[in-house]
Amino acid sequence: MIFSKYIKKSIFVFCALIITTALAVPAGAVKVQVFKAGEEGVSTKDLRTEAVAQAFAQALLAESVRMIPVTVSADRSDALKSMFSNNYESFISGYKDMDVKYHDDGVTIRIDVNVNRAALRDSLRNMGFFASADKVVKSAVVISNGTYKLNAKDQAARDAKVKELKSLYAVQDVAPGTVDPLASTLKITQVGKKSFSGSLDSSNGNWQSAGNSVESVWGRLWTKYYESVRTDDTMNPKAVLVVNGWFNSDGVREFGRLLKSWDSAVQEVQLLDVEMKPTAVSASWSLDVSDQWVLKSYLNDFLPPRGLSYRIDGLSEEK
Amino acid sequence: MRLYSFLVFLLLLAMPTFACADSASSGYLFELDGLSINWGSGLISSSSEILPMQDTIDPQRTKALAVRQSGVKARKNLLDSILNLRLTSKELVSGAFEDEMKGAALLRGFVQNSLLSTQDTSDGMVKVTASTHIRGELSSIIIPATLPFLSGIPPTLSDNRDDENSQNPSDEEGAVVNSSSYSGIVIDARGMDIVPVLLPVIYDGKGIGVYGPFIVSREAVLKNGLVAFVTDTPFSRLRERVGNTPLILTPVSTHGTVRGNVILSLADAAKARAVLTRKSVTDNCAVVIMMDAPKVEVVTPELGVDGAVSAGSVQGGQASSVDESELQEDSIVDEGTSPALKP
Repeated sequence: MIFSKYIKKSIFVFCALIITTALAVPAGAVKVQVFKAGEEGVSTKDLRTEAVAQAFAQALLAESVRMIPVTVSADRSDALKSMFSNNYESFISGYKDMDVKYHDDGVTIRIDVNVNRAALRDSLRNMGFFASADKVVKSAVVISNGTYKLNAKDQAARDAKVKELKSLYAVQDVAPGTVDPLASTLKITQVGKKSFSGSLDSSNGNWQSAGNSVESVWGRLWTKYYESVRTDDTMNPKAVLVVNGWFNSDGVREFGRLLKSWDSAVQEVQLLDVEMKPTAVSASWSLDVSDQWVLKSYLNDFLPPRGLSYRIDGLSEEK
Repeated sequence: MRLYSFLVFLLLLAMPTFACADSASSGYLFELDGLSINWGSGLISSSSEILPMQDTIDPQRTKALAVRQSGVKARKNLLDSILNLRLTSKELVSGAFEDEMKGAALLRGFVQNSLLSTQDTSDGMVKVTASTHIRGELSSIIIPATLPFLSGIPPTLSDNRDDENSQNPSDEEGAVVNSSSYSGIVIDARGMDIVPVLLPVIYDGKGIGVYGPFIVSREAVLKNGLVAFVTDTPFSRLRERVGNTPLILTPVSTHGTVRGNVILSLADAAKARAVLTRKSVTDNCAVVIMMDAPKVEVVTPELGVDGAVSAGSVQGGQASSVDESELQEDSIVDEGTSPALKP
């Protein structure tokens, strides 16, 4: 009995150690596992392709949620995942260790996805995910078919797409003509078979755009809008990292390169200063910290064994 | 009884660690003037000792200065020793950086971020050791990306090979080996005075490559090293590298300017080729070259008629070859407050 008690305690400690170690490992590739149920008439190859796309979308959503400084609403999160399902190529820089298992009722994909975080971050910013505290933007949205007539099915599809775009870009529709000085007006009109033009009038500015779909015109106009309010963005905490202990500036340059590669934890890394003291060389960088725990994990792994010490200024313990 | 049971349990948990003792502890260890290269584990380190200035107003600052001066020297020596590593039997690592300014800057930066440990010795000196692993990121810097890996085209020896070849004419090709029964290859080259190089080539008696960069991927080499060089050691300690059932072969000769390559008999080469058809062997570079422990005495290198240099003298003899090169930068010393010179 006592022996088994010891075993239980030891196994518990062992498992706790493994879990702690696993959690302490800084995030690199995003690991995801998805199950895609089989459908009648869908070949195994197509099912696998759909499952891989779903896995990519899942990985991008997970990374986006980690990156965005505020909590995203369920509607907006769903719209984001739907967008990633159809448009993931530009955000994926590679993948590895794909494990595909076929079952009687579907397929399971386990995969490590390398996310292009810089591209993802830019795209999220253009969609307003970093805009002030996840507030919605009030806007009168007028989508006109112009002289073109759509059948009921196409019209329903377009309406559904516009609804999804509203969720994705945090646009709250207000009735045209509403007297609200903060409300903007978006107008998109179909001017050709595959040609649309649009305008966005807001208190921050007026913009025009054209494209081959409602989606493309919508995206361009709202990107311009969110660029205009970028100064109000709810950014990740800005911090200054100071590292001390090099013997010459070669080490500073190499560490700066490494720091930029830790894009799962920090972005917008800028070298601020290099100070040559008689005892050691120190350097400081400004950075946006998206995950301070991962950053500290990287720093603690890398710096002390190399005789380097660090401090982070301007960071609270919250994020 | 309870304690006994618990200890048994702990021992069972620790068993795999002992069972998997790798080639690190048995690697060919080259040591000279504070420099240490373990060709089994790939760990390379350099130490430097400085006696801090005594009786100063600010002992803390004096020690920091001593650490810096010692650290600069240790890392300079580390960079020197990396540049003096033999990439192939013909070329040094420094040769790969002759026209590679970007790569040289990358290497300098890497060395300046090498592992660093400081300790106070019993005689009052400050000892700083800089170390790094040859494998991994360092290999990705010093092994040129232009080198053809996994080409599938074996290199062949030049025509003057006949002078060096001590191939037994009675050797015959055609030995049949069940490749699945071997998990790796151990080349027992003890007594052959070979010199460790990063990318050695194993040839057959006809001078055709059997194992080398042409048969493995660059990724596998960066991760594992093309081969591990070990000294006289029980095979059980090489298990992690070559598995439980390695094919053990004895080369018939060596080849190369510094005897960095080995030559197998035709029969052994056929066996090796059979084992190398296993993906797990090439993916993990499961090849070990066993050699004699390095000679203690340092011999001034003397180039022979065939250009061969005796083992143990090569590293030390070449240490100055890059000292004057542009790859090294002068260390920064705070004049006026420098620690006392080493006695």
